Amino acid sequence: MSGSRFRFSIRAKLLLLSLAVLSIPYVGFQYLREMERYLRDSLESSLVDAARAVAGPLQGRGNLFPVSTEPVDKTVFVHKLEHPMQLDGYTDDWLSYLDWSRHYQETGAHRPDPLSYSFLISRYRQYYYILIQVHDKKLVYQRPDTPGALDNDHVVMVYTDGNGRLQRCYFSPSAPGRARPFRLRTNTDEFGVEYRAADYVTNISGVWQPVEGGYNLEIAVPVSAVGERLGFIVTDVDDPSGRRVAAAIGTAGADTDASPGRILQSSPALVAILDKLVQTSGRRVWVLDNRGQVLAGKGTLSRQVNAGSVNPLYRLILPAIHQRFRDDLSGASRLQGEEISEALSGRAEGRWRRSPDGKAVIVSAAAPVRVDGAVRGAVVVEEATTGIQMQQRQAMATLFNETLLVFGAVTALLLLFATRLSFRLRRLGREADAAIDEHGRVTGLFPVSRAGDEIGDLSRKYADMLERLKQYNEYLEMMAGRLSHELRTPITVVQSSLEHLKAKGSDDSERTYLARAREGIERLNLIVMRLSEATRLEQALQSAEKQEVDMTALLRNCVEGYRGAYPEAEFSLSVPDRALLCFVAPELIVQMLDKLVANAVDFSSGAHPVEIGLREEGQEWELTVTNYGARLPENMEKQLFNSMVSIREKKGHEPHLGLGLYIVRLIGEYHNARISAGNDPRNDTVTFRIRFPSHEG
Amino acid sequence: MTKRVALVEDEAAIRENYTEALEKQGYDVTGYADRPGALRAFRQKLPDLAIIDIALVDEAEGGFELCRELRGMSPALPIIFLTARDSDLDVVSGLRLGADDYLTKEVSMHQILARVAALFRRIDALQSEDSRPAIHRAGDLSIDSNSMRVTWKDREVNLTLTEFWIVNSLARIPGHVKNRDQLMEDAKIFVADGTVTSHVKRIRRKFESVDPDFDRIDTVYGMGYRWKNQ
Repeated sequence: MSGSRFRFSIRAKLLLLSLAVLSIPYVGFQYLREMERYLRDSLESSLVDAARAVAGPLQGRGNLFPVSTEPVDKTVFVHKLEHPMQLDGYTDDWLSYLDWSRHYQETGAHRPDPLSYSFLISRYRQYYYILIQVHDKKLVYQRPDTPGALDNDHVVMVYTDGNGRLQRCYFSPSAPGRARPFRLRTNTDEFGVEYRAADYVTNISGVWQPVEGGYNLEIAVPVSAVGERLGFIVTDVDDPSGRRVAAAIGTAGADTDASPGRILQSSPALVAILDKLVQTSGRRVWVLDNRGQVLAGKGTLSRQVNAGSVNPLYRLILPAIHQRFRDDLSGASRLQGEEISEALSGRAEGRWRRSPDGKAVIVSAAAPVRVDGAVRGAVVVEEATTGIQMQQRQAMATLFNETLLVFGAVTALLLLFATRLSFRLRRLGREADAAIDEHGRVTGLFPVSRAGDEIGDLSRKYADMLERLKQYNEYLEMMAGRLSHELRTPITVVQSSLEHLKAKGSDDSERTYLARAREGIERLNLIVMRLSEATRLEQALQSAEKQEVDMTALLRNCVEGYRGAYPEAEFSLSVPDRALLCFVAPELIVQMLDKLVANAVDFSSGAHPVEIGLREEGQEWELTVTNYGARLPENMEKQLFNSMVSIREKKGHEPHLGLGLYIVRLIGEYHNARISAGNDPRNDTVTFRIRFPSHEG
Repeated sequence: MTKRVALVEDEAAIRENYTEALEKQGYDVTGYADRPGALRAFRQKLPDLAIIDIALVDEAEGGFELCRELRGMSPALPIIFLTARDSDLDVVSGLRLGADDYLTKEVSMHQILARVAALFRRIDALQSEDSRPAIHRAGDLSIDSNSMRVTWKDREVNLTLTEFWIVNSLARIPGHVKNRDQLMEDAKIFVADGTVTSHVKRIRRKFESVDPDFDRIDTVYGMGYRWKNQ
């Protein structure tokens, strides 16, 4: 009703309350974080255990842990291949090994196109396969007319042969494709002038393939051709005319040309042991010597996790789990870190670290390996927490799913409950509204709820209240009838006594008093009659019969009668020209009109006629009685028609009991008519309207 | 011969006032306060006329009961009902208790005396065979103003005294509209408008009981009633 204030319905309130269910995911999320920490801790301890377990069989086996003095970062570590490589310059068949690449980068000068490359060497049976992926945006090829020239992009392979002699083999192509490697030999011609001659090497083959942002060089070398040491120098030339060397990076640093790094291979004995001990997927095990140099490695960190079960919606909401992340240690030939130095000094230790790209957290644990009481190596076990993240993610998805389900169910229930509640309240409101009609009369149509809750109680209390109100109303309505009945006997006593007194004869003064007493008793009689009129009418209504009556003629007759009955008043009548046939009880209509006209004449200011009108309006016809004069008080328009309500200020010569309009109401109700009274402020008139349904009965 | 009137009324003051008034008119009046007392006396000897209050001491409708018993003893005995309630009039009429008239208590003594006198005149007219009936005929209607009886199409319409006077007033001048005040005057009653309406309604019903097609009493709304000749 109150339109200005924002209405907050029960339903909306309950729905708002249901939002509290949404706190479940938050609490669950906190719980999952806790769980993740626990899982990580247990993962760490299990990794430490695993490191110890792997270290166990290695203890005391000095032959597996050679003592080396070679600087660790210069060595090249040869990985083991599962299959031979196709020499084509493309990395397709390398994909699962690319993790092992070592990365070399130009340092110092900040050129717009710095040289960098990844280097990977592996072995399949009797061949070393080498992949060098060079980042060099500007490729400069050898001029075709100068075989053996090195003023262009080229790669030098420096190695010792079987006899320990240092050899250099050049890959300096004049075109993409198969690069014919050559050695340079310094000769002296017949004039004693030195010149360099290129001897093509046949047992080493390479393919040079330009790719986006650089080139790949893929090389196959028979294991027998290479001795203990091997290194590569990548030289970059960016200026096709000047042909100046822009940068050269060696795998063993600046010394590469003179002393390439030692070739290291997984010890077959260690690999065999690891193969037996390590079978967990997603776990990587390293065996290190006492300087952190990798002796053997097994397994990869990435593991195939089934992410398909997680709803794609959650993948949008939650940070993605990266099954592929950059692994800082893959292909490493030397490991460093807190846990490793701890292990190498004798204590098993665990460590957490992020992958360089921040996409994963890696847990590693190291345990020492002792030979004759001295630490000769270490076992490092690593695992990425992707698995834990995955579990957490799945738990979270489940939690979200279930929360959503619970939220949906709770919301639906609350909505149902609130709808039902507000429906019941609204129904109660409607019923309460309908229980008392616009005239303030209790209709007795209030259905009592049998519900056992507070709304039921409210309904019952309301019914109780209405019942009492009804009884009081009935008492009021019956009071008139009872009063008139009870008054009649004493009036008769007084009246008959007075008549006797009068008959007895008396002197003049007594006669005056007698006359006054008789006048009083007559008025009393009139009051009693008026009082009982409503009661009589109620009885008359029960036996009234409706018939077809021409209302136009009826009104004309009546107004004629009123002109005779109220000679001091004027009447104007406006009725339709034709007969208006209505199905009514004519005596009652006349009685009602009598009351309305009497009322109008009493209140008329006299200057204007009392207007009586009849109009047909659609399915209804309307009878109006209008008089000029005193207005009705505000807010009394509805109560006017109640029993014993009188708002008259004017003192008439006849007693008024406020029953006239009550009779109007009774008759109106009998005809299913709507009665209203209202002021017209424009011209100081008071109009009573009775709207009858047109086709009644 | 002095007419004997029995007055059954529980209210002592009214009883005595009425008794005195009736005695002044030369009637021999005996008052009774309750039904058993009145009944005992009636068993001894019947009065010539009985005026009975409907509500008696403890019996709200003791008067009706007494009327029935009295009718059992004498079908011709004139009975006038007195009542404080308008609604009782319908019962008197509806039950066909055979009352000759009924009055509400606020009527004046004159009206009661007029009725008593009229009833005795009616009885006298019936008893003296030789007395000339003063018959007024108007079509199917005949009114005997001596015996105060009305016949319609030669069948007697059992009207009470008040009803007779109303019919008489209307039918004497057919076509002439009589308003309620005139009718009340002619019927020697002074009651509210609504009472005349219900009297007329009852009269119509009584005529309809002998002739279902009866429609001679015309309501002129807002003015009154008239008797239509055809």
